[in-house]
Amino acid sequence: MNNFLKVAAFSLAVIGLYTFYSVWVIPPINPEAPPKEAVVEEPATVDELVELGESVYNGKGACSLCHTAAAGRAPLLERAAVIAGQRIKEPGYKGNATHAEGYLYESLVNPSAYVVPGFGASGSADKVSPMPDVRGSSIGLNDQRDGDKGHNSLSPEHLWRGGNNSARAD
Amino acid sequence: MALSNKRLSIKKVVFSLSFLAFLLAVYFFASGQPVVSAPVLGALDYPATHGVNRRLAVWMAAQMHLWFAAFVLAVPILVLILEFIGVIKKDKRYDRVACEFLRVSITAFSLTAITGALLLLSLIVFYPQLMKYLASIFGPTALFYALFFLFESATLYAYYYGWGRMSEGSLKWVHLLIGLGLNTAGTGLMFVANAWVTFMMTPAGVDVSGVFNGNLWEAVNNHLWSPMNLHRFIANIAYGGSIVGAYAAYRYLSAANEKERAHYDWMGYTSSLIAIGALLPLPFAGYWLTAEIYSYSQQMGITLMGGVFAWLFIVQAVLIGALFLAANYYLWCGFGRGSYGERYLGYVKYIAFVIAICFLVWFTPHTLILTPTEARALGGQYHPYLGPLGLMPAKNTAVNIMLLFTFLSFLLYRRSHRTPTVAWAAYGKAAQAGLFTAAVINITFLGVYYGYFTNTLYKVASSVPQVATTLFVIVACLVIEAFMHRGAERTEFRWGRMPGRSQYALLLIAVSFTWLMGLMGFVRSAIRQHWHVYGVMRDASAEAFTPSIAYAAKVVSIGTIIFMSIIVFIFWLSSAGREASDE
Repeated sequence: MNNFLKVAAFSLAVIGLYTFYSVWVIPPINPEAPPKEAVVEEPATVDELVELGESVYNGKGACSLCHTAAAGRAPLLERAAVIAGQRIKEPGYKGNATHAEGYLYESLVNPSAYVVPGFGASGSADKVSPMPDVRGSSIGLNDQRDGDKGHNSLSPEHLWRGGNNSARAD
Repeated sequence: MALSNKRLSIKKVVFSLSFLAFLLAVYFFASGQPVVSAPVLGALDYPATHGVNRRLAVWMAAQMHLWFAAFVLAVPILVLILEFIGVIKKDKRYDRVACEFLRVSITAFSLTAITGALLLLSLIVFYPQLMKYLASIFGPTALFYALFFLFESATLYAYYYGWGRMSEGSLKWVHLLIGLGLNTAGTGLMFVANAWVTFMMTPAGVDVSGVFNGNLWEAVNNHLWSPMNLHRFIANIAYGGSIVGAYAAYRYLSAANEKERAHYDWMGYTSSLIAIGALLPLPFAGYWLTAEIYSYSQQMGITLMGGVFAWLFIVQAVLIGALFLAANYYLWCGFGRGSYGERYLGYVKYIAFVIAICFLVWFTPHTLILTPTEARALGGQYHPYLGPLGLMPAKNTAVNIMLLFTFLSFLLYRRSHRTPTVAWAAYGKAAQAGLFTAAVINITFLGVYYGYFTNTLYKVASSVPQVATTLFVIVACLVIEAFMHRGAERTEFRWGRMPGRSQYALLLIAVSFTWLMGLMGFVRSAIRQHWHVYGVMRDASAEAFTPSIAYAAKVVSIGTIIFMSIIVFIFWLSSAGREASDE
């Protein structure tokens, strides 16, 4: 019985130590609440459109997880509008876009159409992009056809507002 | 006699419950109807729980089931290996200890089935829509599950009760074959269950709009199925070894005479050797699993290794560090078993120093939680000198070196009872020292070069060559060691001479393993965030949020205490039964 008590006390002390470390030593971080569904009106002004894009970029789209200098996992997008037109002329380009806007759309739904050198999935020799199709996976943007302008756009008909749905990229 | 009757009726009850659980599982999955797409759930799709925390209930049931399942899948593997060694070496000690291993685990088989039934029941009650969706895809797998279950039950009873009757001659080989069948069925069961779990994390055969249009094999063979199978298979062996080691440690401490002490010392050593042996390749299997998570979804990978869960890996580092330190400490204490052990005691402080340094590197966080003043003083969130140690390349380097030095402890332990007599022994030892030195240099170079002088994407590219280096050195040194000690001067290990404190190292390993499994089970599940099936079926219940590490740690601790208490009860039942039959 004496040994049993010693072993039990030792085991409880070990469990207690791990609990103490996890509860009181590790910084108390509470993960953000799950984003809530919200129906988004069609943006009426450029400012609203920018605001909507920003919320998708930092929220549901989870773009900022990789497309930042700190993360370094994906090309930076600050000059994307300028560079996009040049990409379609690159020898490695396999997509169907004929203009910059089309290229940007294609990069979202078929990211492997052109992989920026150095940013391919591991072992793919820059042939496969690690980026998912934004219409699927946990991002789930809705694809909408803009008939008047004759090109596609991704309009987040249903946005998960209320927080960044993933963690910071370290 | 009264105790034997009581045990028999307990067995009948647990067997009946297990069978009921099995029928329930088969019925539920077999009755699944194909559905076109994953349902979009609302709060009303979850039945009222009347104050019961649905997630906590499922979490606890799943965790208990996993702990028991890991134990009962591992023990027959250990038993089969030991029985086989016993046959080859013609050493009855292995046979006796194998039989004892199996006896202590036999009740746990029924408890695994009961906790499995509880898990299934709680899932059906609390998450009916999710289960309906999974059953619609995985319905046919219920047949395989049923077959494996029946085959496992039949082979288990034949294996256990046939031990005495099939102990000699060709019947012994038949017995070994039955053991192989038992292990195949158990592993098959785990593979089927893994398919369901991994589909929830990395669903396959689902189009971008969430409609399942693939076939069953696609759903089963999703991104994580193979790495999860391998990781769990190895981890179960390590876990089973650690639990049996803890049992032996307790029996050693309570031994009434020298003979008993020697027996349990040997049992503790054998089981911990298996546990540590399985622990060595485990980080590599874990690496493959993580790489596949990244490969499936960068977002999920970053959620796993960054942000709030990054701190969970610091806790993990502390636990694994404790495991390695305890394993090494046990080996160092074991130097006393051999006649030549004293000559290696001087190396212990250096090995301990290296392991401690590696441990410190491993649990150095990358991002620091600082006040604005501290951040200004430091010039950012990252420490200028220690910050780089928080990156994966540094941790991979540390873990590989830690593995190498643990292996070195094992080599020295083996030499504590033998001295090589071959003429080239000095060259052999020099070759081993050279291999170790070259490996440490290579591992460090790979970690530093790929980690800090290449693109971010290639930061973890050093992992594979680092692992290859470690494995190569371990195998090469073992080969040299085997040839070098042919015809060596040997003395018998003096079993039963270990200090009592060494047995606490075995207990620490078992408790840490249990806690670690709980914690890592949490993070594996938590990276799905607010999704039942990642990216396909959203969790709309009130408990869809990700809990904090502190909360998870409390749940894991309570679960560990409950599980360990049941395990102690099982051990007591086993030893009480043996005493009754001895009488």
